[in-house]
Amino acid sequence: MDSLEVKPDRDASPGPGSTFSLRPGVRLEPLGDGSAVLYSQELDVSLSLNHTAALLCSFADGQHTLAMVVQEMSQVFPDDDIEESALVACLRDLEAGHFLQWD
Amino acid sequence: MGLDKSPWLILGTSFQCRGVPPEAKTDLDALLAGFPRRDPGEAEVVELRVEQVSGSTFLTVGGSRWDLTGTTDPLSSHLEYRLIDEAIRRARGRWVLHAGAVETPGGTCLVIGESGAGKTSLTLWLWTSGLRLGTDDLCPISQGALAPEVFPRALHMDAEYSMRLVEKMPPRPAGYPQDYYPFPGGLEGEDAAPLPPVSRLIVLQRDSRPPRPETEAVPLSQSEAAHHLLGAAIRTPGFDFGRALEDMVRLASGCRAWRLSASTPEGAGERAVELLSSL
Repeated sequence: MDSLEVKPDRDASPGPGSTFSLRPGVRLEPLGDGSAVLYSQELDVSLSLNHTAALLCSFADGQHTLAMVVQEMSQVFPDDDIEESALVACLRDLEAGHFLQWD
Repeated sequence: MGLDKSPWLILGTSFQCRGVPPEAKTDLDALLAGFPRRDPGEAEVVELRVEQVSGSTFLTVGGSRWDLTGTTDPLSSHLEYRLIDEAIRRARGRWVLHAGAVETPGGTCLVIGESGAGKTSLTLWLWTSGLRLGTDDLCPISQGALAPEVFPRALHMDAEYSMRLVEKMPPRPAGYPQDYYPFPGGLEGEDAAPLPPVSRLIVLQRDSRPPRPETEAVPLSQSEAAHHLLGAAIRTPGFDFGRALEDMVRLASGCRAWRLSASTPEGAGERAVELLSSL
């Protein structure tokens, strides 16, 4: 896995009140074009994020709930239908790649 | 010029070679001709020693020892490889990227890609199309300043290359070590001009299937460029991941980057020339 985009689909067990954060040793480096790089020092693995996934990861602070994230992303992308299940699927991929953890 | 005298200065480390048989010495001299030779002064000198004992050949450098008995490659080839490898291991203040580099009118263009993707072919194609060659294989980049450096290692051409590429290259000097080609220039004299900052990045993707169109150049986001650059950085002892990430992110921020896929080396070369001349 070396790039990630938010796509719909996938079962979701985390609920609207769930929060998530980057795993210890994982850094999020935003770039000027809105994309970002996630980097795990432990695994020496990097991941390229498109601007949607980069925005999603910017909420990985253990404070933002999924419901808050959906609301904030809907404001950033008013023309798009932001589905919680799509966000959870993306977060699950990041979790599987050891970049992220559910709190 | 005797190898036992002035050491080679490679990536900031001086290497003194001892015990090299005369025939290998001549070839090694040719292979490393682009690198400067320096009186070590106070700098640390690393010794590379060749010992031939009862028909066996041993090579010692940097605390490691190799038994080269029975190997088919020429001794000079082993020595060159181990010297460069040790120089990379000891490189301080530089990232060393698995990358080709050429100077374009708009800045230095790096060529990266997985092993076997055709980096060397493409880099040499760009060189023979009129761009100055920085390196065909390993590109040192200063940490912090992000200045790319010429790496004048002899070109190792032991694979099958496109006939069109071979025809474009200048003739190989008579007597030059087999499977190698002299690096055009070096780190001293008129050839010593530094490379301009990195401004272009081509990520070469091997593609045996004919793509539609036959060649395809897809612009990459800055994060994709940073991701590929980070992957190309050689992990040396003491590699500082955090610093590498910051530097590769900065490097990517100043680059226009493409993923180039092509079904033939010629196709990749022609498309790359087109891309770089359209800017």
